Amino acid sequence: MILELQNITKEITGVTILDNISLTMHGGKVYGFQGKNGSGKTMLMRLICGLIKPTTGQVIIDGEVLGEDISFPRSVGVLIENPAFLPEYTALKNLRLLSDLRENLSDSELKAVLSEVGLDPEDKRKYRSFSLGMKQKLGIAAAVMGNPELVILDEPINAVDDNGVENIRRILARLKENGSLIIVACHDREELELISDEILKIDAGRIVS
Amino acid sequence: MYFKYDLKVRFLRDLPKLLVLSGIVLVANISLYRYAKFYFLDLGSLDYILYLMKSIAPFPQSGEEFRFPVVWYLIQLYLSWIIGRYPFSSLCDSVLIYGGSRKRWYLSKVVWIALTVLAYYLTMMVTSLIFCTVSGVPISWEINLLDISEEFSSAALLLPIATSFVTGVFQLFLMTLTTPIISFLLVAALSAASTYVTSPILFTNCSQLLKLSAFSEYGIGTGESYLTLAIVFALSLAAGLIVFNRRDILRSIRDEE
Repeated sequence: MILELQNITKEITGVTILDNISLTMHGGKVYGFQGKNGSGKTMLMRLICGLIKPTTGQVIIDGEVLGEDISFPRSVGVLIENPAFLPEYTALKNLRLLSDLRENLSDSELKAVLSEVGLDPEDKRKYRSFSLGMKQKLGIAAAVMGNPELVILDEPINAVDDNGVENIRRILARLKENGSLIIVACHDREELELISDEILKIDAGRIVS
Repeated sequence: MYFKYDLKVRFLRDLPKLLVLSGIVLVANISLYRYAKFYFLDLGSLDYILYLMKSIAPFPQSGEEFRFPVVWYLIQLYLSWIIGRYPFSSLCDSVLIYGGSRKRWYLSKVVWIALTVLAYYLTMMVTSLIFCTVSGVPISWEINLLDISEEFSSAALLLPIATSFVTGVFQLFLMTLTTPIISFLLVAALSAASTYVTSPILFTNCSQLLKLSAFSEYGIGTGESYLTLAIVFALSLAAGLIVFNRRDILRSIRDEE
């Protein structure tokens, strides 16, 4: 997969959120986005997902222009802010609901991804009774199920215990080996250095290094 | 695929909410039953159903005093509330993205509105029929409650359902421009205004049977009503698709229950 950002600028009510960003990213690599709150990381991720439109510039994914040729990337998994989970469903049932939106993964595949993030696939507890860490793990499971070609994770290790963080590292390594393009935003510089092939520092809507 | 999600996440979970509608309908049915007993009116089951949608005759042309149609308004308001609660409250990033298309997401909501409106009117009819059966009102398809004009056609009886569907699609379009609450308030204001002013421009008039020429000398024609609804539907759908396709989803909103 090749993801190109061409002269991306995003203005909202006259304020420049992203400022002339050009970047090319390739599959099989992990890109770490680092920056302070309000630097534009999350906005850039939402833009790559197709959730917001650039004021100028284009996002091109494998030759297709986002927002013109396709609404959203064809094979993508995302964890940005709060995922859409139903409080009265179990983890497995929630994953099934999301999976049905695109590719109908089998129960065994869904159970495997739940185990991979450190959740018990047979757990009958409802999402509403999950701890913050469990909710985050389920969000990651939803983002990586089906091994998407593009994975976008905003603060994936928030509220996750050490074992969970270790699981996330393993999952990212596996996806990377499969050729996925992975974008991770994280406050923790050390963690980001550990998992990323390339770190991009974002400040005031610009990539500064 | 979005539709399967809509069906599971909202439509099936909303069915218990229709009990509230049954409650409103029962109160209206009891009120009509007592009125009919008092004035020795021979009413059948269809009259009880139509009573829910009759509203008031065109004002001031009919010469009757303006009395706010509480039953009709409550029924329309509750439907708008149900419709306003879902589409954009479920606008979660992953759901939208995994489905793969903004256009399909939007069209799926239109289908969901159609299904919700049908279930809504079916609930009204079934509740009224149960009430009639229990209270000994004859099950009949004759109209005695309303005066049928020369311009009557049975197509007029479907106008309330068609209007509610189009109003829902219009509300969905308003949601793309504003917020669910503001769009609900705008539709509530439109419905309230249409009780006072009879004009096809205020298209919610078309769901008030007494404001139709089929039942009132000064009413709006059935053909004119369907034409108005078709125009509003086409414009709302087209504008909604265009606006939603360009809309930035700046934050995800969780589906809260």
